[in-house]
Amino acid sequence: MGAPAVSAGAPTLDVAADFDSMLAAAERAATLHPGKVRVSHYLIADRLVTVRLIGDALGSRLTRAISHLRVTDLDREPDLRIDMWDGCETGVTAPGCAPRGEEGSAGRTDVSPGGRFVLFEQARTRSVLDRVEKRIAGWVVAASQLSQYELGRPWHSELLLWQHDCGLQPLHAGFIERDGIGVLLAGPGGSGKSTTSLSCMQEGWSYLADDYVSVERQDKRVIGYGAYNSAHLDPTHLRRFPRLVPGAIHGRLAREDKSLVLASDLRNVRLAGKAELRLIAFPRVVDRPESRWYPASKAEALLRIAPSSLLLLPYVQLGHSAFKTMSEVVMELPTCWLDVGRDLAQLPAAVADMVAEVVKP
Amino acid sequence: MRTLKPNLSAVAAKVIDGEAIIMNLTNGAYYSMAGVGGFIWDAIEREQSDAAILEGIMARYDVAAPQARADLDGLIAALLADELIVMEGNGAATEGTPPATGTESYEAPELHKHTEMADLLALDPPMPALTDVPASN
Repeated sequence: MGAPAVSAGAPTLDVAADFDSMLAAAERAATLHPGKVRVSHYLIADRLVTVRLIGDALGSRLTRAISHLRVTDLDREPDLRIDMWDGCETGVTAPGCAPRGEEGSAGRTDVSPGGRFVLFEQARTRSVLDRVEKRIAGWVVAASQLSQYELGRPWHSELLLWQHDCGLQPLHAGFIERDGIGVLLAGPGGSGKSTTSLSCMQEGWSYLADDYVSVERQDKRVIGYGAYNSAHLDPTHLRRFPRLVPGAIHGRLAREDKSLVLASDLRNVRLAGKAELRLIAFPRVVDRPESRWYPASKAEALLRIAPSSLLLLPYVQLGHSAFKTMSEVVMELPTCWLDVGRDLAQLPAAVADMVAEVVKP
Repeated sequence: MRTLKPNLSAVAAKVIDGEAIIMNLTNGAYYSMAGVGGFIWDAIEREQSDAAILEGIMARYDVAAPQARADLDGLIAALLADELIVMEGNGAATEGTPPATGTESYEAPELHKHTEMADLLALDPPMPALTDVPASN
């Protein structure tokens, strides 16, 4: 399952006013239902994100995919605040906050003049990001109508843009870590990113991401961050991981043809949100039992990682800096092909061998 | 004189180990050109004229002028057709015959186009109005 379709609709709305009215509605919902307010804090990409959800069901469902990043209240101002209310449960609405189209139908974005406020609208959810105040005001028609995508990657588009504004570069990749060595698993859908990250997770690697990573430079190091402990697997793929089957959340809608797995529901797995990036591997599924690795050229690497990563931020003007950052990261780090064979039991050993051979102490 | 430049309103690119990787940010298509193609793209990034690029090819590669000229003109046409470059100025393209002094082996430049991502981008098109975060004042 990919990201919900979004079309850049004509700017017919006053997005700034939208933000104000939605934030006021969230406040109204919180005032009317103080017992339904749930505030929690998360360290996403080393930034403090404070989430206030108004609605019992919303509070219990929406943050499961980021639950491994939860922290106790830190003595500092949040870097991002999110306010979101459940329209059905609270009976509160705001202009524009109404179901539109069929569930799962294409969404829409809109942006205020100057680009400060950005609206993200799906069939049953709506939110506005204030990029200056670093704040999101959001509405959902009902927690029970959240899509599989929204459960697995809450506020995905909003967080991508916020992270870009924080100087982070989103990458379309999985991410695992062991012994302080972070391995990025990059490539288009179906290449074996999830297979590799989940196989390694079952062998004791820390799981940071399945499909979406953000990176930033800290001195001479490249630090990678994962936000979601979720993975989306098609039925055939899911059967290859029997341990994941019992907790899998199957789709409600026709377009939700994959199952959602939340690694935070599993016992004895290591989840993390941050690791130093030391190696970029490019999985690709091969029709033979064993898994192998070998070096990838820098041109191959950039061709493999850039196209799908640039789709994460579908804004032309942001693409230049994104491409430059990706080029620099590819040039700095070792890059390898990883042939993912049929025998998944061998795969973590191949990854470990690649790390041992390629990553300098 | 005609000067060639990358179409920066739509394109991001990098030459790595002589191979040009070119992304069209507006439609998701991406391209690669190795060898002579990478050499030519590097010259385009330095905003050289087509005549200067031809001189550079002749100085580096072992190739006859008519073939180099035809190949360059063909590649420029392909790059223009896909809006990867812009051309400024006018005048005849690649006139005259530069001296052939190059010794490196020559293969006709080829623009490899990859479009796997274009279908995805069609579902998630760019939003041209959005730029970097505005100042807080």
